[in-house]
Amino acid sequence: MVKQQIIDWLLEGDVSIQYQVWRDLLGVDKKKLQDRISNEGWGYKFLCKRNSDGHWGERFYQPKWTSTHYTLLDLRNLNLSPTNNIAQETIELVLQNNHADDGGIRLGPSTSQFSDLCVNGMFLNYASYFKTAEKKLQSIVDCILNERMPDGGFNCRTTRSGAIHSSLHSTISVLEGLTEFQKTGYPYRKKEISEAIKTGIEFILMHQLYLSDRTGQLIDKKFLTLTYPCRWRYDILRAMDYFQYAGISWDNRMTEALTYLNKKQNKDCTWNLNAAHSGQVHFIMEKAGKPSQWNTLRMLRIKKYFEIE
Amino acid sequence: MIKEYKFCQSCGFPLKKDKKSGGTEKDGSKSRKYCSMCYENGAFLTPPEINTAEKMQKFCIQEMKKDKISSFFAWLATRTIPKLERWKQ
Repeated sequence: MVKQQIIDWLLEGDVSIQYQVWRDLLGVDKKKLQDRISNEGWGYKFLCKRNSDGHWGERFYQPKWTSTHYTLLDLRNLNLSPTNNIAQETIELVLQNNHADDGGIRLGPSTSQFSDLCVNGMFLNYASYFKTAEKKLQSIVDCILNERMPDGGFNCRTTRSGAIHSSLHSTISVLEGLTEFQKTGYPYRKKEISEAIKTGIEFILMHQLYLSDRTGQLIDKKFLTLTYPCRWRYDILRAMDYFQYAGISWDNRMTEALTYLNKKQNKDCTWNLNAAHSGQVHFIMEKAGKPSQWNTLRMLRIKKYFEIE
Repeated sequence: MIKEYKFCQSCGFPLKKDKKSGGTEKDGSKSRKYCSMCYENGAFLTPPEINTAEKMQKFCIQEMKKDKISSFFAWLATRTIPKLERWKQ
């Protein structure tokens, strides 16, 4: 397929894909198209799964992929309208009932003392996106910034079993959250957040996105598996997509990862969904092993942003 | 304050990946600016005719291809060369 054919193929996809293709690849932000995400396709399906108590699944974090938390993250990544009142109502509900003693968001009734750093990062991401008032997010920002490690990244195990090295999983979720908070225009602890974003990005780049800084070996082969939705897991496509979204400049330490991603392109110029993270889901957006509109869209916007032919 | 460089300012190679930990100055000290493939004893190792960023890009791509590195990787790795200090002027 030539580029126009790929664009046409993507524009045959879900309305959330169409919206992002227009915005990210064709440079037109079609708000009316974005408004349709709540009324048709995947966005509508997710919204229909909401319970009368305002949650998805059983509660905030159970069961994993069909819980309130991961459904809100899915809706944010679909680019549902940021002023959607259903998402906003549920976030308000979580803020009222799920505050942990450390200022973050607690996962369930048995975890009142400490929150989870990755979840705080993801929550900050969608809560900022859905325009939650800055003041209500300040304690979550504080909680996240308290956990920055000496190597510049983050690791959710610091509050559980302890950790001496940051985790790419935690770091990417936190970076997405802090970046979204700043993109919303909130000035709270601006300098410290900017510094945390800078050092978190450097932590990922120091690993060339997937290689050990000590041995140069692949850290985890799953980092090279192109999945969607990513959930809490890190992979190199998610990292590159974050870099383009955050607006950072090209860095030569991205070369290895981008070359790998480029090699994964099919002959018809699409990218497959390599695998899905196991677990109960509301519905399957795309089948593993087949060309993926999510992955193709993400790869094309990365290549466009970094001016790669 | 001494400026810390992450990449060789001649070819763009990440200095942390340099097995020799950087090139060398005339007095034998380590260069903080250039890698061991580009700079030794205070002088550049690249042939004298490589005197522009564009020529350097082509030269690096050729060298990488000799090592069986893909042309896509080589292009990506060398496209920042015009922004490096050696070639800026």
